Order: sequence, then structure tokens, then C-alpha cells
Amino acid sequence: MGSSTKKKKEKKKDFQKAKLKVGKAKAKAANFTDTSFKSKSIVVNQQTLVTDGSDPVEQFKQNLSLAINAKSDNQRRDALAYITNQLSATPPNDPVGTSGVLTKLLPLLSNSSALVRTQLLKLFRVLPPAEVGPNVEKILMYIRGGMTHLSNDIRNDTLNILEWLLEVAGDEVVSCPGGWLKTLNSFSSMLGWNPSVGSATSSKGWTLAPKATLGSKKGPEAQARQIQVLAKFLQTGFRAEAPLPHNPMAYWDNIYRLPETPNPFAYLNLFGTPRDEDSEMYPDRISRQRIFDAKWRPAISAGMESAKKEGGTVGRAAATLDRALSVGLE
Amino acid sequence: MLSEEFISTVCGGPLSSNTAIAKDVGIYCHSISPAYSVKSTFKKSSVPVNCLGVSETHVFAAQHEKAYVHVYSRLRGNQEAFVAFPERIRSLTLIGDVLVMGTTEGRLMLWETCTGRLVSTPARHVQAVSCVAATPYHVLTGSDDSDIHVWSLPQLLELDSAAEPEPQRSLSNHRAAITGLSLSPSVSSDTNFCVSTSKDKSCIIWNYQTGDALRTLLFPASPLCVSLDPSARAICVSCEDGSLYLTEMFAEKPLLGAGSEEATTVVQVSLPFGATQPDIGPASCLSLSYDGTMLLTGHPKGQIMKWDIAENNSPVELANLNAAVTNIAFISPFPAEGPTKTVTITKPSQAERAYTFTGQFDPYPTAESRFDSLLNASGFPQEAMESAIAAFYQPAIKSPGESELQRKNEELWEVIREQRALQKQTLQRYVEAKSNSR
Repeated sequence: MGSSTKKKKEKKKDFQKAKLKVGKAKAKAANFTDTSFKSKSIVVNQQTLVTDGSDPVEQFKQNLSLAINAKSDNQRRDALAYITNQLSATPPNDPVGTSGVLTKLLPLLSNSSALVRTQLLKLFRVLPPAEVGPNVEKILMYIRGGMTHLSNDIRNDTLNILEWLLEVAGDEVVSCPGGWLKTLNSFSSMLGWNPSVGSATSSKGWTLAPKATLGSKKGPEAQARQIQVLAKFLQTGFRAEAPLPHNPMAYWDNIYRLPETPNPFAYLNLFGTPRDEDSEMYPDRISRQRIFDAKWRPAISAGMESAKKEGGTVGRAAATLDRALSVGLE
Repeated sequence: MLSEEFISTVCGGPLSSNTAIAKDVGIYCHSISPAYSVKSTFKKSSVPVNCLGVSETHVFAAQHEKAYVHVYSRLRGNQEAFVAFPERIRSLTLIGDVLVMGTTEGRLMLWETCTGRLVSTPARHVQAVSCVAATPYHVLTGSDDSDIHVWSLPQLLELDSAAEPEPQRSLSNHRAAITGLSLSPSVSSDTNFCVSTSKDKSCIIWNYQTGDALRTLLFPASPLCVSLDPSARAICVSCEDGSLYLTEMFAEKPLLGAGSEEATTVVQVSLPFGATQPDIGPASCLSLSYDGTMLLTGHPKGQIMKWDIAENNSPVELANLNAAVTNIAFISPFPAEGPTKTVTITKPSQAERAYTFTGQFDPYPTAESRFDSLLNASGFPQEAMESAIAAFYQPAIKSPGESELQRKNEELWEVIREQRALQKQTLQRYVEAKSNSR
């Protein structure tokens, strides 16, 4: 007998595509293997530290690692508080050194918990000021990251830390490579005073508050604080340098003595990567004034005028900025 | 873009099982700036302290407890030769093309790497030569028998010299084995000095050309190695108890020269510049960078620590090589200048009488110099002839001042000729009148 319809249909089925129905999942292939997996982790929320006070060095290091790796925010804060106590004791018990402490703890600047950030600021205030100077570049990198963070609270707290840094090592901040222009860049992205937009903004609407800020929820106070810290930064940058007292041995010391400041040939940039304008060093007041005039003055003046017209806290902050600018750029 | 590079060597096998670090690598070439990285490595080498010599093209490494020197080519990145010597090598240094080696029997051997000539002196030291240092004019050898001998390098390398080489002088103030020797860059007879450290916890600064001990420094612990600042402004010493001392030569109380005290006054050095943690151990080798701002120390547990000279509280660990670090040498960031470059070394053979120098000249510059054009022309070239002939012509300058002067000259000559003609006429009349009157 010839092939029946049943056999014909079976042969045709091999070459027919499965019809897809709307709202139903596609049919799985015959050789489909399920590669999904579940992973489980054990999280110890409150680690019980056996604090028998045996070795202060070991305890310090343990707390340092706990500050970074702990799962619970409270524990992090406690570890930071312990380290703060150790550093503020006399003599300060610091086996790792200020550079080591800063390297490990700076990433906590953008931690999501407010308690951790405030405790971090307290810790920074306890560090010896002379040793913060050489690490300014590293700290500024994290501060710039914090200033352009999406979260408002982190931005505010980062401004506090910038204020501390300006108090402690203001000269190094404005004269380190990238310190002047890159920080101004982050300020402008925070406030929305863009140099390319600058004079092209026309007043539309009944408020001139720039809409280009990163989500200004608590509008006026945050902006006032930002303008205040910007004024302080510019003040530090345009501060007149005091003339050094005459040292009669300076000529001979330069030849026969070892240098006293760390990294004395940094301005030559002999062995580093070539720096572009943004990351260049501007070691003295005149070069900072010049580059500020060239790049930032119109943008910041325009933003300041619009902020003054707002009035209130923002207007007062803008007035201090105005004073700082006029004193600095004379 | 320049980069700061240094070479470090290790001795012995890996200390802990760490699969990240290759087991048989003996010599590392690191680069510090702009960022730290290991640029290249050489394998199969176990180098004790003071046994590393680095040139632009080669690395010479004497092996621990063996009479071999491994030569690695930096240009090709591989091992070039195993060179065998009659005795075990205890210390080594490279000066120009000559490799100077001190042996465990107290001898000094010099091998010219471009010709293959080997010169060895009789054993002038009673014990092994623990450190060697050289300038283009002198070689200093310090030994475990507490003596330092000063040799003249040209005298040692003399061809066909009948007399056996002898040291020029011997510096013997130390009372225990010499552990480190470092020379100042100056070679004049007034301002040269060398620094030697010894196990009797002292360090002496000598004028090695006259043999005077200029200053003695006493340390609380026995110094292991010494390094001078590149401009010889400071002496850096690492001691057995893990502390580092940095003594400035011309501080408020200068150690040398005018303003310093008598040479017999001993200076106590007590304030350490830095100290390493006990789990890292004392530094077995140290080196200062070329700008004098960074100090690198190598430790027996494998760490290389970086210290900043001015901000000296805590060092940064640069690398852990997982074996005892025995030598650290900075490479000059400037290219070496010299008429020739050694591409392959010639192994030493003592039997030959005639030696051939093998080297490579730097490629000629592309612009032809005047000498090249003169050489390439047959006879005298045309331009040379023309310029020589033209030099004989008087220059015909017609500047306005000159023409004015010339005109005035002409006028004056006219006046003189007229006057002469008048004078002739008067004389003529006078003579006529006189002849008429007679």
C-alpha cells in the first residue's frame, strides 16, 4: 500500500514550525537544560569580637578592616569610633600611618549610612594636619566623586569634608595637580552653572533657579550651602601668599642639604603622564587667577547674579561669593 | 616620556607557596613611575648581596655559592651566557666595560666584557672580598678581614705588565668585617671620599686617594648596607635591628670640610630615620632614586618597601617577591652616551695573547658633516677650491662713508699736486733767475 495520510502528516510535522500564540511563552527546545542556580550566604550581622585588649596593633588593624567589611552600619560606626579614640589618645596609637588609614577609609565617603559619614568626618578631624598634606590628591579624588553623587545627603556631607580639608591643608588643595580646575568642574556640575551655557541663558519663568542640577529636592538650603563652600574654596585659592622670611642659608641649603618637603620635584612632572589643562598644577595665586578668569569667570558670575536675585539664604550666600570674588580677583 | 626603573634580585627559593608569583624568576625589572609594574624578568638566578652589575645592554649576576656569573641580555630579554670562573664570586661591580669581581679566597678578578681578557691578582686579602666599588680610576675592595685595599684600575688593566698588581694603599682602621662600601662621584684628590661600614658598628668616611680617615660614625647596631645620595649629600645606612639612619653630610654640624670638627672626633648617630616592623625584618639592600627623594629597601622576607626621604614615618610596600631580596639597583633614566654599544659579550679566556674588541658603533647621523663631504670627494672638492681662492681677493666695499673719504682723499691729492706744480714753477724761476744773474 502507499503511504497513508497518518504517515504523511508525521513526516510533514518535522518541517512545520510551531505556531506562536499571543500571551503564551514560546515552546522550549527539546535539548533545553536549566542552568539557573540559587546561592545562599551566611551573614553575621553582629560579629562578637573577643576584645581581650591583648595587642593594640592587632586590634587597630582588625577595627580598620571591620570598618570596611562589616555588613551592619552600626558596626561600621563603632569600628570607626574605636579608631577615632585610638588616634586621639596621646600618644596616638597608629601602627598603619595616616596614609594607610586614609587609603582604607576614603571609600567610606560615599557610604549610604549617615551615621558612618558623620563618624568618618570626626575621624578625619582627629588626624594630624601635617600628615594630611601629602595625601591631598587622593582625598580630592573621592571628594569630587562624592560631590557629583546622585544622593543629596552624600553631597552635603562631602561638602563638610571639603570644608575640613580646606581648613587643614588649603594651600595643598588648590595647588596640587588637578586640584583647582577639576574641583571647580565638580562644583559647576553640582550647581548647574555650566561655562558653555553661561551667558546664553535667558530668563524664562518666574524663578531663575537652574534646572540642570542633579535632583534638587531640598532646593534653597542645599544650594546656599554649596555656594557657601564654593566661596570658601575660591577664598582659599585667591589668598595672598605671605612673603617668606629671609633665610640667609637658603642658597647653600638648596645645594648641600636634602629637600625637606615630600616630592619636591612634582612640578617638573619628569616621570609622570603628561597632564592636560584640567589636571595641571597651579601653584601660585597669579596662575590660578589667570585660568579662573579665562575659563570660569563668566559662568560663575552669571550664576551668582541669578542666585542673588532669588534672595533669602541663597541670596546671602551669593553675596559672600561676590565678596570673595571681588577680593580675590583684584 | 621617562620612567623610573629599577632592577631587583632574589636569592634562594620561594618562601611561601604563592602561585601568583613565578617560582624560578631570579631578576625582576620594575618600573615605578608613572605606575608601578614589573616590566620584565630573567629566570634561573640566585644572587647574593652585592653581586649585581647592570649596564645599558646587559645584566651580570654572580650566583650564590657558585663560581658562575650569569649574563642576561636586556636587549633580547634572555640569558646570554653562563661564564665560569676559577673561584667562587663573593662580590661584583661593573665599571664601563669591565666587570670587577671579588672572590672568596681574597682575590680580585677583572674581566673585560668586550675583548674577553681576564686579569686576576694574587690573593691580597686574607678572607673573602665582601664588597667591591669602582670609579674609572680606582677600585676599592673591602673584605671580611676588616681591610680595604685601594687599587688603581689602569694599572690593573695594563697590557703585558711584568709585575704582579699590588694595591696602592690599604685602609685598615676597621676592627671587624666590612659589610658595605660606597664611593662619592667625585674623583679629584681633594674632594673624593668613600664610606665604609663594618660589623664593629662603625662607619668611616675616608679620602681614599690619600688614605686619611676623615670622620667616624658610631651606630647603636651593626650596619648591614650603605648607600649614598646621588649628589653625596647624605649617607643612608640600614642596621641589623631594622632601623634606617640618614645622616646628612653638611647639616648644622657638617661632617666634612670647613666648619667640621677634628677628624678624630667620633660622631654618635642615634636618631633613626625610620624603622621597619619586626615581621618585615632589617633591610638587606637599599638604594636611593636618581633624584634623591625616594628610598627603596629590600627585605629578607621578600618585601620591597618605598620610603619618602622627607616624609619619613611610614613606608609603603611596593611589592612582595616571595623570596629574600638581595639587590636593588636603580637604572639611570638618561640614555648612556659612549662611542660603542656592547651587543654580545665575549667570554673570558686566559690563554690568548691577542685580543679583539667587539662592539657596535652608534648609527651615523643622517646629515652629512663637512668632514664626510671632504672625504667622499676625489682630490679637492670644487667648493673648497672656490672658497679658498675667494679668500685672497680684496673686498670691494663701497659704503657711503668710504666713498666720502675717497672723495676727500682725491681733493687733498689735487691740492698737493697743485702745490707741487707751483713749487716746481717757483723753483724753476728761481733757478733761471740765478743762472741769469750770474
